[in-house]
Amino acid sequence: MSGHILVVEDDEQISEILSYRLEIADYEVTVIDDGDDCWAYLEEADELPDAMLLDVMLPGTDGFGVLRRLQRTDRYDGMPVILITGRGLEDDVIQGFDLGADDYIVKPFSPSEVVARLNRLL
Amino acid sequence: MTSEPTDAEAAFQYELRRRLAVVHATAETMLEDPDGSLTVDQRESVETILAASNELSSLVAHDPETVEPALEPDADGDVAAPTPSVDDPDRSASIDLVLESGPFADVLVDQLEQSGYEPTVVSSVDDVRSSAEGADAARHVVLDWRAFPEPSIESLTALFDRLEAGTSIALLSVVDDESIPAPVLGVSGLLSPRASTEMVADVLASIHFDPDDEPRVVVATVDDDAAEGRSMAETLEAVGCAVDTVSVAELRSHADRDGIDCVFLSADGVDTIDDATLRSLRTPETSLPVPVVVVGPTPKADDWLPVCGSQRFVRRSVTAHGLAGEILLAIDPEAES
Repeated sequence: MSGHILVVEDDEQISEILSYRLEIADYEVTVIDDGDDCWAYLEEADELPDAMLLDVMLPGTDGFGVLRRLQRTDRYDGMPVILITGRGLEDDVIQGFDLGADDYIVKPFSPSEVVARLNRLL
Repeated sequence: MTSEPTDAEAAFQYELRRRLAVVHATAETMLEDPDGSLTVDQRESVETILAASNELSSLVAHDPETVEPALEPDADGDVAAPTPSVDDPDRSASIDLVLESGPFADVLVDQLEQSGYEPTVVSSVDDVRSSAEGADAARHVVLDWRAFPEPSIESLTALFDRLEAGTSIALLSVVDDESIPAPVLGVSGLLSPRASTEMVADVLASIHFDPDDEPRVVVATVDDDAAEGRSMAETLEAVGCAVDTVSVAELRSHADRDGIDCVFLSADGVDTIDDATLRSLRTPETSLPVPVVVVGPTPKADDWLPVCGSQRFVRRSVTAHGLAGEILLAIDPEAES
């Protein structure tokens, strides 16, 4: 499997582990640690990532805010988004799906499961 | 129904999950180390850390992974209680685990129960609930390879024969040091030699190969099934693969010499291939592990029987959480989770 994955996660240790595991699975990885920077990156990108792993609790615009912005623009319709978060509330899950997330993984997670879910979406 | 946590509880759970994520993911990644650089003692220590993080994870209540995405308020404005992900009332929710009892099985049972399934640990392959038990038949079977009195591809096929069509299997094994006791360990699945070009293309896609990339495939056979091997080689060429047909005896030197993407191994070849050759495919020195597809008769006219959880061919310790995720995907790969 190959492709470009955008990891939006403010915890450096988690993003490092995700990057390591995704690169082993032959994905190219870009890491961003801020919701506003994520949006700026997407707006300026000539070519969108193949999928995005998005933390909910982020500096700047939070993950739900990023999802809301994505929802308003047709350009992002084909880009799968998996929410990865430490928030364990059912309302958060429902809100995430309502805002267009394709999948939802709660911390602590299995890196292998993240890769399996990405493979399924791609 | 579980009550919502207070803000303080939610904040505590958030912080706990965040830190557990680092511990859990780091430990699992260390165990998956394809270089095998951990000593046996180090590996056991990391497994202890992982088991402890699994136990801590289970203490964090209210796991939302069991929530269906499309919960809508009813006419009164109430949101229905979360429903488990067992989405088809006509399908059994039973999962039989042929595993040794212990912490690993306990965590796996807990994870599957949280997703709405009904896992049962049984003591032997004979206890797996087959189609004879009708509605109680297992929808999925988690099987420790060592549960077979005489492990072989025939034993596995005999179990497939007993199961209801559509029942999937996750096959586990334990590798002690450098020995590999299971001939099917690391096999992606069984493919009928009569499989159509479309089916073969789908199989290649399922193990992450795009025929447009002209994957380099080796078909390895023994004398008795060379004709079936030639037939499969023609099908693979028809879907765009670069194919070499070799004997199983030649496979080791062939694999060493040339970069190959995938091996299609005849059913008789599974029983004759030596461990060193299998090891060279699972843990090559300079490339990613090479998937192995067994070409042989498949029961119940199924063309392709994937073996869940074997997409990676290196020695690794599977975690109960990781395995639970793979099982749920195997049971319902199209589910909108």
